[in-house]
Amino acid sequence: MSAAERKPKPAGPAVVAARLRLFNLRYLRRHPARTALSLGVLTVAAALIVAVLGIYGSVGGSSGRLAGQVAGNADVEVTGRTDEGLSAEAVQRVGEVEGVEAAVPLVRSPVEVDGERMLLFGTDRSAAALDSDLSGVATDAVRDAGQGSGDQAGAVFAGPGVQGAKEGGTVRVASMTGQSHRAPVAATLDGDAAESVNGGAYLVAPLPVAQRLAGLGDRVESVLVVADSGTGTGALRDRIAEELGPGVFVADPSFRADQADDATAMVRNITLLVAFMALVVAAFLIFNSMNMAAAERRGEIASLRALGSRRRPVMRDFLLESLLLALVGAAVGSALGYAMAGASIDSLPPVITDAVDAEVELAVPAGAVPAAFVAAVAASLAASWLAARRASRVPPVEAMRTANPSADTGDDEQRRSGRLWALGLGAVLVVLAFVTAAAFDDERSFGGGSLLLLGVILLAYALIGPITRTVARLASRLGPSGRIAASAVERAPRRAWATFMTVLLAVAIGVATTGSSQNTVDAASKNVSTLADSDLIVQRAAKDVLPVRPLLPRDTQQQLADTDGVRRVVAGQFTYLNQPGKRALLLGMDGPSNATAYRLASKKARAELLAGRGAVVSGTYAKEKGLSEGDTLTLPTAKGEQHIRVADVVDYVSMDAGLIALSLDRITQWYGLSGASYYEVILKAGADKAAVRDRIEQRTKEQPYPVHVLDGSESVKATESAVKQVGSLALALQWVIAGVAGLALLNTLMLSVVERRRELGILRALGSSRRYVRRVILTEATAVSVLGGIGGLVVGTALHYLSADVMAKALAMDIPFKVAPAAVGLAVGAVLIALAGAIPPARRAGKLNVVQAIGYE
Amino acid sequence: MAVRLGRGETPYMATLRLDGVVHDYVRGRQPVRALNGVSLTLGGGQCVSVLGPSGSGKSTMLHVMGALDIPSEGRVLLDGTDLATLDDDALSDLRRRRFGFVFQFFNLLPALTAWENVAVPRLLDGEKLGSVRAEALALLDRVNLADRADHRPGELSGGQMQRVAIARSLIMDPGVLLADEPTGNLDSRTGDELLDLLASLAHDGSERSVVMVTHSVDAALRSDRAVLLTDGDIVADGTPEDVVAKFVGEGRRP
Ligand SMILES: Nc1ncnc2c1ncn2[C@@H]1O[C@H](COP(=O)(O)OP(=O)(O)OP(=O)(O)O)[C@@H](O)[C@H]1O
Ligand SMILES: [Mg+2]
Repeated sequence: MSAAERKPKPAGPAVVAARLRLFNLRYLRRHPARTALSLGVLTVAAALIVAVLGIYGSVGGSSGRLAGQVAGNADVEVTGRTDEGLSAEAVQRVGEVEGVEAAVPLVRSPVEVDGERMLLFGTDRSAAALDSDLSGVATDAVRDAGQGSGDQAGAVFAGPGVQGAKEGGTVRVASMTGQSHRAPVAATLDGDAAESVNGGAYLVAPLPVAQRLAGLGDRVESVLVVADSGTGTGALRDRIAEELGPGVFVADPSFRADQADDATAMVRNITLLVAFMALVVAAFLIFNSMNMAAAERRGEIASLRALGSRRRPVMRDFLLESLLLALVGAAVGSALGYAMAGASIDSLPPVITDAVDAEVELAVPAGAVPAAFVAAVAASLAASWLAARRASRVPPVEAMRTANPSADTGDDEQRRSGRLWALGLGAVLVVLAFVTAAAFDDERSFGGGSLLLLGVILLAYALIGPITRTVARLASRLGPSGRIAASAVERAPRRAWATFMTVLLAVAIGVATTGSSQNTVDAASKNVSTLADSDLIVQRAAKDVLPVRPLLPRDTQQQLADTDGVRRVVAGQFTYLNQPGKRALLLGMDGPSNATAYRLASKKARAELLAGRGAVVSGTYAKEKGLSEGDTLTLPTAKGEQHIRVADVVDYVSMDAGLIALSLDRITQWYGLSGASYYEVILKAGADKAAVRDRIEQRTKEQPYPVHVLDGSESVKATESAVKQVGSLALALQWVIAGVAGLALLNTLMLSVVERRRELGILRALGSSRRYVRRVILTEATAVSVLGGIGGLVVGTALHYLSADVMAKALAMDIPFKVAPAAVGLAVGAVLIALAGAIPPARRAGKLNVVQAIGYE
Repeated sequence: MAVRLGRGETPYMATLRLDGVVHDYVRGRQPVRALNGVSLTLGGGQCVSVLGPSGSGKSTMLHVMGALDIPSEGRVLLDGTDLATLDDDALSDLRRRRFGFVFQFFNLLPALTAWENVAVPRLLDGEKLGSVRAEALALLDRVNLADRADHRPGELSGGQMQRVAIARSLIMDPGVLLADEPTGNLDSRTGDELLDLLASLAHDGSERSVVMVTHSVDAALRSDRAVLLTDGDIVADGTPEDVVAKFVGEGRRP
């Protein structure tokens, strides 16, 4: 018995490669559609991961990188409570704090240079202590300026990314606070450091020049502090905070990057949520396609087993095949993802670009591509594991039985226990999904969406019997061709199930994404709906962003009020309040306004607010600070801590720590701000709105910067569309998923025709018309996709509920769950697409050559 | 003409013994008894044909002999080793190295060329394809298909495909060659040629046993020994002439 006991030679790489080439790659080449689909699914999944991580990594990374380029060695950044910045006196006091080695005053203002948004930096020689990219660039600039003669006074140095800036020329610099100046360009900077800072899009000037251009007077934006060697950062921070009081904000130099992160959280979160779901769908589609491949190759595998292949190599071949597909898919997908991220960076919606001061450059995080590879490989291997195991267990004796062993026969025992496992695990996952969503209130809760989908897939796998029986029953009711369609479903339950699930998942994700982004948009839009009652709104900010900056000067208010037909003008000023964690939003107003916070407040609270005796705060802020009406709100201000009564708590949604509405006077007193984010213009009764608007537009044309005059309802629409941008990427992803699912469906139905060629041929030979055969296929597709659509609505609604919940927590917003009627339309649409996908296979079935089809084996 | 005679590691001569083999198929509630206590010993250098009416258990017996299926009762002994004591891997190794199979439906891999199909068992045995090519081509030559080595099964006729399959069954130099109605899908003239070829494989000096299940009396008459199965029992075992006479006498001639 020596031969049987001897182990086979351990298969060397050459043999493994040969097996892979002969048994797997040749198969893939013979089935290009299936191979393309598997690769496509993996590619799309990998691309989505790289793109989503790439886009948000670039956004967050740009702010973070800029912070590093600016701050260098700095341990602490001291800044004002709002954009108003720090006084010269405060700068000096910071420098005197014990343990401060260097205190570098810094202007870091967003400005418009010849209409382009970029940054203006200003500092002095002390910047050398930072040893940062900026300080390298700036100290040169500052020194050169020092040597420059009088005609260079007030000159700026232009970064290499400033279009049209030439040495000896001038640039127009419009500040956020409403000033505009022509500044001579002393030189354009070059070199690596100069190019790297904010992608070259900046101006540098000596401190006084920068202060004048930014409209800061003798103030600076912040002071960067380097601790001396004996002082710990934490201790220094505490000391500065204590000595300077609540009028300043002491933070890590990276705090702006964190704020940008917070501000873009909504978009990032929605997109991530969908990307995670896309991954589950990708895994499911791979699972399907590997399963189909395993079923189709059952005969070949039985032959190999009969010829003496052990089980393990059969399994290994399969897993290697899916590994290979995953690697190719991930490689192509990563490249595609890079391209997608690059293209998106160039056309980011204003809601994102507005939230970050930094120039957003493509910087795909180092982990993105590995993450895509790991996800693709893991999904692919996990999805093909079952198929591989099933393939390796094909009994060799099957090779002897028929020419084409049926795909859907097999060990019932094993399947039953597998089903029980799936049932249990599926139920656990569904519960776990809701637990996850409830337990975490950050990005981790997004796992809930994926878990729910996985759970549903497992449950549906366990219920494959009842599902296919229901499909068959429905099919048999659908006309005379139904019986035959039903029997096809009954004989190939797994294929019918796969089709059903593909429709279900596509519809479910569509319903959930549409529903939850609709809810989010509705919730966010509610904020501004009252603005529609304003006759006209005048602002410098683009119409589709929250008009925080740039500001219009206060004297514009009088000009507007003097315009013919205007009854009164209300100034509104938004500003961000720096505080630990997320920043809060401050809103000041000098009269009865249509701002939501004001309109929602009680009559008494409105009066208190305008009189400067009370604040109206949003629910988020009140909850965070544990405040309710009548409590005293303590605010850190430039004038120290101030106290004011909470006049009312209103429902106002925002991305930050919440809103505090005060009178404009209070904002001016406490924070020293003197501009307006927007003016609400209320017309005299009977005035012609178009004419007044025209007049205002004429007047504001004289301003050195563009001023937008909007209709109230126009402004609301613009804001709604801005909020929609938030969901746009997610919605685009959803269509990608739907498209891939549609292709998968087409493929399954095509395959079903090929598999049933013989049977359909017999039908034709027995005298059925082409039309009848076509109808058999369409009936099957109708039954499967209608039920899939219904299942998708149910699962999608659960997923929608979960997503709305998760989004609400991740965004700290109140997002009410409301079923969108559009969801039903979406399900109907998906079913129609599925049916359209059945037409080519049905036509193909009708055209089958009867003789060939019968001979097909 | 023998190719790779006496492949050192694979002893040609094999003794295969069935000892009271019972086989039940359990499908649904009612088990079907396909073999009802079959005993049989195969020596080397013999071509044995298995006759019997449809459903009498011929295929089942062949599966059990070739370690494709495990008997419900009784023993299958290859050179004294009870196959029931071997695990799936060992059985796979056995099928690969000690048995050659010729299937009714050829079971060639459609994506592989003729010579690659012939070489598959050696690849499964861990050998590189390149090093087997010459032998595969020689075997194709032996079945008169040298000129079709690079064709795929789809481009071959049924008889040609079966000849490729026979070449494949020989590449491991098995001691036992098992064929279940190898000509069932071929016309009679092609079938006759193939049967001659199969029968000759027992007499090429290799001491190989060839077992073929057949419905054809002509085929049986070409073999050295014939076995008649009826309802899972061996009812005759002897010279082809005697067994065929009994088979025909029972009026079971298909
Ligand atoms: N997989 C199976 N499941 C259940 N019963 C089976 C199975 N295979 C064979 N049988 C039954 O076992 C008995 C013997 O079958 P077997 O295939 O061995 O007969 P056979 O002599 O080869 O017939 P044929 O000449 O038609 O090929 C028959 O009654 C058959 O119905
Ligand atoms: Mg048989």
